[in-house]
Amino acid sequence: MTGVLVEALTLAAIYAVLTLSLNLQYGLTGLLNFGVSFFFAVGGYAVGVVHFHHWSPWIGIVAAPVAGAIAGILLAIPTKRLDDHYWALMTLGVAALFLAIMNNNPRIAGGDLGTYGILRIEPARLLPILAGVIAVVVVAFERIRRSQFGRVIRVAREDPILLAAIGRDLFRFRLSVLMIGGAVAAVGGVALAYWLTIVAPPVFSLDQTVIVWAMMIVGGRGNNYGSLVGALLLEAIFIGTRFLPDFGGLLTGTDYALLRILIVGASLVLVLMVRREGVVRESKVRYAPLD
Amino acid sequence: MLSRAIIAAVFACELALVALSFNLGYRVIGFANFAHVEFVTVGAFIALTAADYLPLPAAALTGAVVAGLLAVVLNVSIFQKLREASVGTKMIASAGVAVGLRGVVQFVWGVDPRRFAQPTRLFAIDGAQMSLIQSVVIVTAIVSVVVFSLLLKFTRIGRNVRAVADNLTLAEARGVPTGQVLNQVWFISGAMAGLAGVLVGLDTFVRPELGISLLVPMFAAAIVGGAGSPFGAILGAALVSTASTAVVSIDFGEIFGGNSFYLGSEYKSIVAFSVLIMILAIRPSGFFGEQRGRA
Amino acid sequence: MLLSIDRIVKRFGAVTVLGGVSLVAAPAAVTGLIGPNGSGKTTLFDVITGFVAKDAGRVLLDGVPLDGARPHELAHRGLIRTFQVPRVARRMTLLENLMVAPARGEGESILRLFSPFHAQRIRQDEHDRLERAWRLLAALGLERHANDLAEVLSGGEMKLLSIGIALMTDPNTLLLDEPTAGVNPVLIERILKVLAAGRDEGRTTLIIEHNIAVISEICDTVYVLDVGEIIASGSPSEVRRDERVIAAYLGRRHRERKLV
Repeated sequence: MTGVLVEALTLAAIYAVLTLSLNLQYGLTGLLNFGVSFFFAVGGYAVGVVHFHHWSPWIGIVAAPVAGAIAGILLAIPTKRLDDHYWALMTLGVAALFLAIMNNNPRIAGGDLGTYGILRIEPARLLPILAGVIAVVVVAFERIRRSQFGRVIRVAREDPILLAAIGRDLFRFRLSVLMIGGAVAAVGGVALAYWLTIVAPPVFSLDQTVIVWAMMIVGGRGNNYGSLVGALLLEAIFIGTRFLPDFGGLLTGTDYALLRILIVGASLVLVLMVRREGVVRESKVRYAPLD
Repeated sequence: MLSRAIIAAVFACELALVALSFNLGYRVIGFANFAHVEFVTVGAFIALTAADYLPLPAAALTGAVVAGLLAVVLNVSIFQKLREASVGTKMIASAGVAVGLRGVVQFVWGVDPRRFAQPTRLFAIDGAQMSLIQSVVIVTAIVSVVVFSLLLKFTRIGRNVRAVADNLTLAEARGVPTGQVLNQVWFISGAMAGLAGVLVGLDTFVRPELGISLLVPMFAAAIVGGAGSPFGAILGAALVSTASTAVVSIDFGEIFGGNSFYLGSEYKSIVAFSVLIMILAIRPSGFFGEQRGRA
Repeated sequence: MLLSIDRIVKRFGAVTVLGGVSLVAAPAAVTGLIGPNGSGKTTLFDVITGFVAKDAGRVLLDGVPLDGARPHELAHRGLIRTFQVPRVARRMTLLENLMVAPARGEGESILRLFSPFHAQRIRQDEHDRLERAWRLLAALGLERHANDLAEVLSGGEMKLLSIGIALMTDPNTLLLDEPTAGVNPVLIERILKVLAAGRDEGRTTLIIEHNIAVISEICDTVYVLDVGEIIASGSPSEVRRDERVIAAYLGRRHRERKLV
């Protein structure tokens, strides 16, 4: 039983990292990134490529956040020319293109079969590492949120024209956010790779993007702790489906997997309709009067 | 060469129906509806099940109608309630709906691909082979587009749709029952997507990933033609289909010297994705769309 | 800064919204821009501040033409404008709205934010911003909402806040679009006091206004814009008695919009 719990927490922790990244991009800065799986994939494939070519795994681990930041730059460049909603579609296209390129080029990292047999790190060891990563990210993101940088990106979220009117360059801030978001998400991708021990295109599908979006929205957009709550909550529900009665053999194992994706979609829509801010609201930054 | 052209034409017809109906919806509802491709999937599966009890044409019609009704139900229960929300929120919600729909489809019909019990008549044209299915797809698509344009141009519903698409507030002021018209648009858009699904299902397989496999090609075709321009979408579909078929038909060995070298058919999707990215990078308004992009 | 607008032309399609507008807003003075609705006043602001591209003419700051500079660059140089429908960050508090405005502090760079070498300077910067924000909030009479989200404000209060945001940037050239519309008369007095103080410090202020009392009280010079052209200029009392101005407001003069 504890084994299942630790496993669940570890997976929740991996998703928490991904969700924190998306929360920075959308919750705080208003970027409609529908291609976040591109960031995860970049991180995961850093591990995969290194493993496929039998290089030292440390190269992959160090390269991943760098690759994620570069991926962030790539997605940031089109923001200069595109409306937010067209940009959202482009991020989708870029994510799909990246996976298709990986899929069709076996010489990079195994093509459609991917690379497998990556060293498995026991959940009991992975979880504390992830907990540490999450702690660092949350502290850093909270510092960002309360800082002048955090105020500027939130103005970018609320009203880009107001941002220009107070003399700030929208592009510069979006670039920074996408680089940081990309790097953090890539780290999540690394964790995912080591958790699954497989790096292959289906791991980083559009479904992953939707799952992380659901976690962020349900948990509470704009709130870093909300991202943790969202990841835990949805992961708890996923685990819960495993323990549902099977109604006398009427439901099979695959059905539970499908139930999960249904839950993701339903929870996302429900929260948007009933309580858009999510479970944990964005908290105000308050200041006491100076005397 | 001709057989390649036929394949391209067939895919173009299928994609055109999907993209056209998407653009019709986009024009009127104002956001990119990710669930649109799932109407395609639902249409295919409903028709598949109906084909056990009905002749194929009736089954196809059933698929289309159910898809259309589903679209209306989703509008009334979900999207209508999100009317005042931002475009981004609506897009996110539609992604959730899309995923949920796919989950339901998988739950009801399972994950394995299926095929229609179909006639496999082939006939020859100019030395190439064309199957009956392929000609059915092309003919059905053309007929649908013609019927659609007639509907748009000559019926009261069509006039109302055009009025609402041009200017919602003005149409409302002129007494057009906009709520009703919106639902009519959802129905037409969903039904056309459903019909496209039946055609794709006949042409290839009926599987839950049907919709999602068309997502990016649909966006590419829709945007190339100009988001919000239903007929531009036809051009877009032709372009995407031709480009992706052409790229895998070129013998690069011949061009660069050396042995025969063709890109695998997996590269078709790469082309579609690249087209989307390129058109967004170069001309987001497409050929017939309104000038948008960053103000 | 001396703001000179020299024969600005702006067309939207077949409609000429600005047909060769020229005016001068001097430093240490408040210049008014009035005119019937739809005369092009806000469009002029948009052109001056780079939000809309002009078709002809020049905008000069201290004799230097601003050519194609982007809005945020101009704002960074001290050319600040507000909007007719006030723009504020709704899901941020009033204090945050004000604190974000002053020019680039160290805390705006991620690298410096996490660098121990800059921590002290950032702390100081935050303190200064907060202090200025509290003072301005008091001047605007909005202290009770200091830690409330801006979205709870009434329309008039939002207008005040938006003026506050503009003032926090310490502009050398300030363009206010209908600053007193919808604002409580008591608070209008406060705004005028702040504007007067800015003028005394040498600021160039150009305001679009409909309120005649405000114009009379605060403006040194007034320009009248009608259907994209300046039809009169002078002191407030001169302009008020100008026949052409009266006619424009009453609509007796019929002028067709120029077609290209």
